[in-house]
Amino acid sequence: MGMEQELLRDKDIIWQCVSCHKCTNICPRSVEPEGVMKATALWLEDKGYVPKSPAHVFDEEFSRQVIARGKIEDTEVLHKFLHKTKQPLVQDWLVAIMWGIARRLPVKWGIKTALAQVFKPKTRRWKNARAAISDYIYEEEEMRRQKLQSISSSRMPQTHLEAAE
Amino acid sequence: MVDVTDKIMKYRDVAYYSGCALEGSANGYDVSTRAVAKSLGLRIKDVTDWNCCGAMEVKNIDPGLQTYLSSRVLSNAVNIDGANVVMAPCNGCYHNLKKAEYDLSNDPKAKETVNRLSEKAGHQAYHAGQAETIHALDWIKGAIGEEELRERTKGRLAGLKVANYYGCMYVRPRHIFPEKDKGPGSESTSRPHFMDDLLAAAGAENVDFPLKTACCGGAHTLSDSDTSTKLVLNILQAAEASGADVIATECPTCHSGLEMHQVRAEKRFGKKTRITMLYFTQLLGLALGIGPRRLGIHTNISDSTDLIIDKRLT
Repeated sequence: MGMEQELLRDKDIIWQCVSCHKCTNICPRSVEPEGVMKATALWLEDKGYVPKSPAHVFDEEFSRQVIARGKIEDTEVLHKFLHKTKQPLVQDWLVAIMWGIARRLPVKWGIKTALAQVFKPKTRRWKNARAAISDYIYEEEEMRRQKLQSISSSRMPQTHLEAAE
Repeated sequence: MVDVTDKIMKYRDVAYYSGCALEGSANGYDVSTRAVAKSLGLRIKDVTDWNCCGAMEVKNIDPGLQTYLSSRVLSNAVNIDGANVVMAPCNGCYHNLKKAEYDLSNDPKAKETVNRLSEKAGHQAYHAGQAETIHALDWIKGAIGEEELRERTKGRLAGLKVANYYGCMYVRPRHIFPEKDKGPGSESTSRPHFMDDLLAAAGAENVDFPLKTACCGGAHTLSDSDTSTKLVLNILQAAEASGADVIATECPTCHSGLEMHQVRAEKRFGKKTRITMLYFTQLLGLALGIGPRRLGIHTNISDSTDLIIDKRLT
């Protein structure tokens, strides 16, 4: 709709949408605002107005594992995300959590989690699905790139609010 | 009107979709669900060769891909396991399977994508209506019901005050849950009560908890921890103010989000809350006389040992 400047005003918080769907639930015109928020956040990054948000980095790492193996492994999502966002793995609250559980000696689960570091959980017959998904992602990204290029980024006439400032 | 006998029989033998969280860090929810199934004589069979439902993360990257991932799970359940009911204890998985069902019924593009990807991936495509997706709450309520639960649990949760926390994905957006809000007997999207009903049947007292469906910020637990900590603190403080001894949960992301941010709220903001969290299947398990370790209670992040001793739950 050409209202780029208006969107840019909220560029620093739009990625904070947690997808609680209160908006979608209540919208009387079935607009699905949550979807609009996500699309807008992606658009802001694609156009280069904002760096990639931590939420996007997290989503990408999560999706990378799903596409590669069909499943995620919790601790790998955690440490790869922290690594990619240059955060320390050893943080006070994370250590407190680990220690809290370890004290209660969850032997069976501890062994299972340790083994999962080496033998990552995965979907067995996943090879063909992985290939199909990779092709699909490539096609979708190509389409998105072309759409972005074809949308004109020239400024629309000022809104009456801007004119008044 | 649904024939009650049919419903009960159909839910007594279901395909079980644990999802990634229950296979990993939410071990307590998985083992307690299996233990409760065994104790109640319900048959659950893991969906063959299941994959991630797509959660929130893949949906944010590409919603069409998330629909396909969920449809593959349903396809395996129907075409390999011969199931017509798929039970998911995780809100995220449950929500996503329901969303896939809705998309395949209403969105021709989603249907075309699922068919195309399924063919390329070498398996039959799932078609809307082939299986019914239910949450673990629907499963126990439908397969057992409050009356039988009351007889089997003999009021063992008496004296326990519970705040029932459902989170957002169990109820919103309402258009993907056509079976909800259908009057008496059905679940409500504004004031859900299935978990309240089951725990009350086991003798617990449900407190009046205003944030039953408030979002815990689970999707942003790690990527935007400050927001999640604030959302969780609201929930924890409201539960304590309502006089609850424990928060009952029915989703691994909500549960671990509440627990992790309880610790973070204390470490980063100096706000300490004492309430602990237990999965509703762990509470029902205790009520059925199953031991805490068999229910994986020791693998929860929050420590409910004192609560279990104080309230004589074992």
